[in-house]
Amino acid sequence: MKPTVRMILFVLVMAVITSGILLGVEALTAERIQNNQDAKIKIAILESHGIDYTLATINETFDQEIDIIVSGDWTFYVNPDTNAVSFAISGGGVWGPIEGILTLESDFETILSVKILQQEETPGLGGVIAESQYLATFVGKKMLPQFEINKDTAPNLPNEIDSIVGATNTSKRFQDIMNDDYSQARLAWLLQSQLGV
Amino acid sequence: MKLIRVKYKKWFNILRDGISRSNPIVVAVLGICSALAVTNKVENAIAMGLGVTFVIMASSLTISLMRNIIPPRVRMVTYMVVISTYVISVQAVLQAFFMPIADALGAYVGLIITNCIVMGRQEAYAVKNPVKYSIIDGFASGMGYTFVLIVVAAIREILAFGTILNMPIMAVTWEKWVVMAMAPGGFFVLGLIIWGMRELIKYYENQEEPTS
Repeated sequence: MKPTVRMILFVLVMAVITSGILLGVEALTAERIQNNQDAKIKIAILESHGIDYTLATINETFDQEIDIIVSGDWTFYVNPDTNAVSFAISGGGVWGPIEGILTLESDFETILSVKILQQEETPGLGGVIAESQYLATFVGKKMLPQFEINKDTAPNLPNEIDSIVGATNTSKRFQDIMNDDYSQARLAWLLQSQLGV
Repeated sequence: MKLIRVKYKKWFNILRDGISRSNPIVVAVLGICSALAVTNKVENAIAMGLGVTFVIMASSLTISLMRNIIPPRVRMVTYMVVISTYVISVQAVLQAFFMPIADALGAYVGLIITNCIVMGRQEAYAVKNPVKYSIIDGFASGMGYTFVLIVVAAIREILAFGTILNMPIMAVTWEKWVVMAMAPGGFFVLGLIIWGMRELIKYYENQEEPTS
């Protein structure tokens, strides 16, 4: 067999085998990965609202305890007992997307919880954004007039928290994500609550 | 006596070389990008080290098995395809069945594809040697990489955060060296480690082979 023909044949066989392996892995794992992603979101929402759950009953607990309201492009997860509202936030970080769940109290202004579902920031620096200790500093802060993650040494105002040391860009980008998504979500929330849209 | 005999076994020499005399980071200066990026915490270094070790071993096994049928002109592409297939499969399996580990590793698993050590071992060893020794070579290179990563990470984590594996070990008054958590800190520590280890194994750039 000619070397060129052998080479082309080898590449084709190689492509078919590796594609087959990847398709097989995809078929075996895709549904489970999707379920895991859904469970991750539900867990973040349940924990944000302080609702107890077990791993075996995440879906049932979520369906019983959380009301889902859709307004425009936004999906709101409401706890009917407290009227606290959660919604997904996302945007670009320094190295990749940052996705999370922002939960506000019934005034739609005071932060009840922030959870990070995905981030690819620098480990140990920007990666601190996903650490529960840092996220705890968001609790009780106001989203209005505008949420700020700042570097100055002055005492923080009700709408301010400290930035992450050594991760100014991550702090800035996350601040923008929160403010941008909040302003859009607020509009959608007001529309649905006042006009029922 | 048995221990002396082990020293002359091929597998032992491959293992020893991978960790010391042919250490991928210290001697071959491969995998530096990830060695700088993930070494500000020991847990990240361990996760990355184990991930890379697994992928080198699996890729070496496959390439060694196929070594007699790979056309020379497409060998690099073949390595890349094999490595990528393993990395993507590992990522999918982790996300499906070991979600907490997948979350902890984050983007690192995907980054293994770009690690030069993996491709380097296929070209330098697996494509020319039997399966058994290729697997040992992959393990040795992976362990050599992991060892340096952990040493660098331990120094950086202690100085930058006062912790090791997130456990506080320095006094509360410890002034954190923020620079150690950032890229310049990685350069300093890695440079010093490479210098120290090269002195230890008597490896100098103007030599063809390290002296024993």
